[in-house]
Amino acid sequence: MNCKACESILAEYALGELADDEAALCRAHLEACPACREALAAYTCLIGVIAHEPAAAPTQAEGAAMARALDGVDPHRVPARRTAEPALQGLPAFLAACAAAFVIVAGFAIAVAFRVMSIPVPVGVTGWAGVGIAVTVVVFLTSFVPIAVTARRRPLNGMTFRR
Amino acid sequence: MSEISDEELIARCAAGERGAMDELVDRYHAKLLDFALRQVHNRETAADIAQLTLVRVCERAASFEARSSFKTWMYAIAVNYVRDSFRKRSARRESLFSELEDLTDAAASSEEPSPEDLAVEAAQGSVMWRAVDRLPERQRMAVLLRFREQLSYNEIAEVMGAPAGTARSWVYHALKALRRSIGLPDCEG
Repeated sequence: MNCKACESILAEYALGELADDEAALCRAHLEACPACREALAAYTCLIGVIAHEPAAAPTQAEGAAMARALDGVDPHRVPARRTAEPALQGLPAFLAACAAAFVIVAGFAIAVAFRVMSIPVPVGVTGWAGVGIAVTVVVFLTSFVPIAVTARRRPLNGMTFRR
Repeated sequence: MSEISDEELIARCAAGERGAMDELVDRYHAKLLDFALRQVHNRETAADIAQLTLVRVCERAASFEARSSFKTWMYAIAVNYVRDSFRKRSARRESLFSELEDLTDAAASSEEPSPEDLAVEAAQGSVMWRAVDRLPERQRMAVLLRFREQLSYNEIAEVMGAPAGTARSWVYHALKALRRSIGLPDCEG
């Protein structure tokens, strides 16, 4: 075992979390390497300070605010499926992107179809392309927008602080 | 109620038992406040994060499926709130940090501490905690979750949404940085 390999597991060695064979290898290296012994002493000290520094205790006001916040908690009110939440958070933006792509692609497709089938289109509006885009905008407004609005109205992170 | 496991406690919370919620607060309010405070360096924001986390835990208790440990689940929620606060207040945080650094520099230049003072300060851990504060966000979170909250690398990975090897690497580099910051050289070999 070299110094780099030893140092990468020193924290676990200091915590006594290594398997016996790995700990034996580490111990053998430490006996021969003053620099790694110094590193072990430093890590032991660092870990000790990090682990044992007393936690910041909540003040009386913070404790009271916490208790008031819990007064309003009703576990039965919230749907149990937490996993749906991250997907929903990006849903409106995703739907908007899908809708934009759909408008562009469908606009061209419908316009080309009108052209191929030689269907007469009203002259003076914006020609055959305008009709195609107008149809897809109507499709978009009647399908995607209501879904996006519904998704946005759902309270995803609507908790408020209680002081 | 202190002999009850976290998992049993969360099941009681899911049933709406207020006593279980209070016990959960007794166990974790201080820990979450401490964790958040060491990330955001602002007492009020940290208190909000701790409160929001515990409220969310109690509200979503029914969705806890025990696929991971309770602590992993709870700290994942806390880390999300910490990251939210970073995003929302990044501009203000920068100015706060620069003010803090100015104050620290001013205090340092006003009176040069003696080696004895430095030794005492180091012994009290304040030098080390300042070094922890200066670590990159992910390294700081990982090292605190590893050694202060006693989470395994797999649990840290789950909390922070990264592979376990990456979590291990964050902790390793954090320890090396902390070691340098308290004046000990790296190994040569």
